Amino acid sequence: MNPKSSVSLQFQRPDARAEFERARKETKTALTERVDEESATALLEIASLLDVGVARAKRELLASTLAWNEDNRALGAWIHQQHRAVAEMGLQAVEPLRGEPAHASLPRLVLLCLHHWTEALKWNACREREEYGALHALYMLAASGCFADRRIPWIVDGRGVTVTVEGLYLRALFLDRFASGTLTRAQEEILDAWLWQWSAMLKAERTYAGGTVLRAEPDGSAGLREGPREGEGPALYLRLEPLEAERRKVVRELQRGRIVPPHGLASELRIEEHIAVLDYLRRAFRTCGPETSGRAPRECQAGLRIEVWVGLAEILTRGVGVAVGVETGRWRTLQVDAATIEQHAQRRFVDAARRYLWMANSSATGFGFEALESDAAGIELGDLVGWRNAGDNALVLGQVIRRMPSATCGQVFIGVKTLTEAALPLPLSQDLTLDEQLATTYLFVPGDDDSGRRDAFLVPEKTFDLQPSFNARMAGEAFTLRFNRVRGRGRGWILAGFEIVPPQPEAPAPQPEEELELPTFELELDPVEIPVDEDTVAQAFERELPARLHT
Amino acid sequence: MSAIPRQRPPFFLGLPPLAALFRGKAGRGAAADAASRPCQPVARLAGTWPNRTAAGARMALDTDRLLAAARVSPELALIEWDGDGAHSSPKQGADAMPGAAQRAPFALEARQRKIRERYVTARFPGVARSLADLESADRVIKAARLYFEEEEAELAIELLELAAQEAPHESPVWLARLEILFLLRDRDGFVQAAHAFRGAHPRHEAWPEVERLGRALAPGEPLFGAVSGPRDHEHYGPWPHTPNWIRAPWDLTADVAAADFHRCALRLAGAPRANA
Repeated sequence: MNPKSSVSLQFQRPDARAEFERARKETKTALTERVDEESATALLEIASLLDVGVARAKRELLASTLAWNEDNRALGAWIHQQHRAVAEMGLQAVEPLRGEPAHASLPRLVLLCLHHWTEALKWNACREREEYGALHALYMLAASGCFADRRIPWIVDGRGVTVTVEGLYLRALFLDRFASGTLTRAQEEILDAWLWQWSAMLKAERTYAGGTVLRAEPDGSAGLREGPREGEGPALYLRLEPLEAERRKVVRELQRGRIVPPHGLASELRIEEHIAVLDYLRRAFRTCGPETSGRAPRECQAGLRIEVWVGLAEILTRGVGVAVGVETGRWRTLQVDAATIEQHAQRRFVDAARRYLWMANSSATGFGFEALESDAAGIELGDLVGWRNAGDNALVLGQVIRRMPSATCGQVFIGVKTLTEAALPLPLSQDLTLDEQLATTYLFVPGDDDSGRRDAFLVPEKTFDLQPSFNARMAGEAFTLRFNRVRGRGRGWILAGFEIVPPQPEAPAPQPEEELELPTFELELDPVEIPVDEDTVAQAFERELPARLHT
Repeated sequence: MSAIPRQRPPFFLGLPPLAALFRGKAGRGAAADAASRPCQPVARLAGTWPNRTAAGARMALDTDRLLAAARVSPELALIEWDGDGAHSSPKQGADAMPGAAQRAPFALEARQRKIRERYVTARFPGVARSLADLESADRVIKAARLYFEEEEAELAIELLELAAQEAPHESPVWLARLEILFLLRDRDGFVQAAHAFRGAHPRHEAWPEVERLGRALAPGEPLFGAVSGPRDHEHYGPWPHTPNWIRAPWDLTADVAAADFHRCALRLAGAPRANA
């Protein structure tokens, strides 16, 4: 059986997807009847086709910065299903071979399972409890068959690479730990591309030799954990220092104007995405260290329904009640603030546009929300969200750092890092603004000490780029400030630190009105003596008249 | 009255004259005949219609000659680099190596340079909008100092490193990097940066200061010379005073004003609350 002959790999088209599914199901049926060399080869073949087809289709999905439409989502879900199905077929094929670890097809089938399990994880559209036990069992099988670290040719995204079972096992666990909702799909793709490059560093150690490590427990049912194993039992340790060294190499390559890897889809993604992954890994490796205190304890907050605003403009408009933009009145065509229009809008549209999220838990550093997919539409990683605290009605602001499908289908879990629990709207006027009434309201984020060194403002990216000076007047005191550093940033916003600068020299006071009156001018011409003889004056009329008037 | 000259319409009511129609048809027929015949132009403009065979022969000759010339290595005199000190002026502290060669930015291909620029602008928002911004030592040093204050020392070092690559003649950038490495107590980084600084600015007036810091941070490192006494710095405490190459402001007015601003803002809010 050769499925390659009849399958189209244009997975963007529904008919090609249906065709592939048909071929995969035929392979599955053959695999159910018997597991032999031929059926194993057919499975590897169909898996290879899936890999090549997805490599073509995902370019359209990930390389675009546009939001996904329904077709895109359907394609993403389909890719996840196919990878998962192929991984399950691989497990089905491996099962009868457990008794004979030296079987020739076994290493490639184990690789197939690990590879497609990880691919399914990357395209996951619905949070399920991952079956780590199956992963660990595959690794133990490879270890017992002495092929865990054997280098085997493999095809990824249509390119030939050499991999080991151990490398793919650690890749699966690594991606599961670091890319579960905290990175966008494009960023996951970049991280995965780097992991392929760093495959030589994905090596497990049987004993803990100190340093920053992550461990896997092959006899357990959990993913990667930090630090050494405390109880009895086997453990595999993944050292993070070599990975950090590789991360720094990526930074140096970017400084030299070279993207890592230099080929493939990851090389076509925006540099900002690469930088986001670099920063994320830096933080992640740092927090895995032995000196870190771990996550802050969480407190359950089930059932608290909160209206949440997304983005700086919405927070200002709905959370603070500030109209965004300046009404100059120069091109007034419609009285949009008329009472009837306002009531109409409130009745029909405003309530429908509100988002309500359920606070699931909270800690000293952040909040966890559950939301319906319809309410969470448009809330992405890096977005700024705000809500009013139920207790003191203070304005709370946070950054979305995690977004993943919830355990309940149709719901989304959103993790928010707290920026402040007491944001304060403050009007700032630019130096260039002639009218003080045209001050713009910004959100002041007070720092955690009284020195003011940690204070910041939430500003749009464009405002920060211009770096103008602002004037603020509070409690009778005037300040001139200038944004000078980025303390945090997300989609369209910057948490900008600022410095108080000396006030601009005031313009000279206007002169009193009476002094501004113009002096009286008198036009006086100097007398000019023109010598004129009398004949010329006498004949002047004669010379001015045309000759025909004389006739 | 309008005096715009008008061209005489070439055709009457949009139709060409009959003669022109015939002439066009005849012309087209002649062109078709000419196309069917072998190309033998009668009138040739001088220099624009070379003889095919002659041109081919000349091209062949040129190619052979070029290939032959390419195989022979040219006899050129060896260029010996006299070292950076040969062109430096001892009086120049900041720019010890004048000239276009030293000002040449980090040599990269155009595409790589574009990627580098994109990387720099995305990595350091608000600091650099282009690679040219890295040539401003004041701007870069201030930004690096702020990163350092924000406990983003890695970004500070990277920014100064990139700036030193872009404008190697700007010695203040090198010195600021050395000071931050010293403040981080990064011994290896300091030694490495000091070596690079010594190579780029061999007779810089600040080198004794670098040696002084280096002897404190990396005693025994031959680059910084021997320790000349029990303590090689005139300062009470375990570490020598720093030369403030990062240009930290001595004036505390801005700090006081920042505290005032914080106090006024919280007073405006009604209750003193801090962020988490």
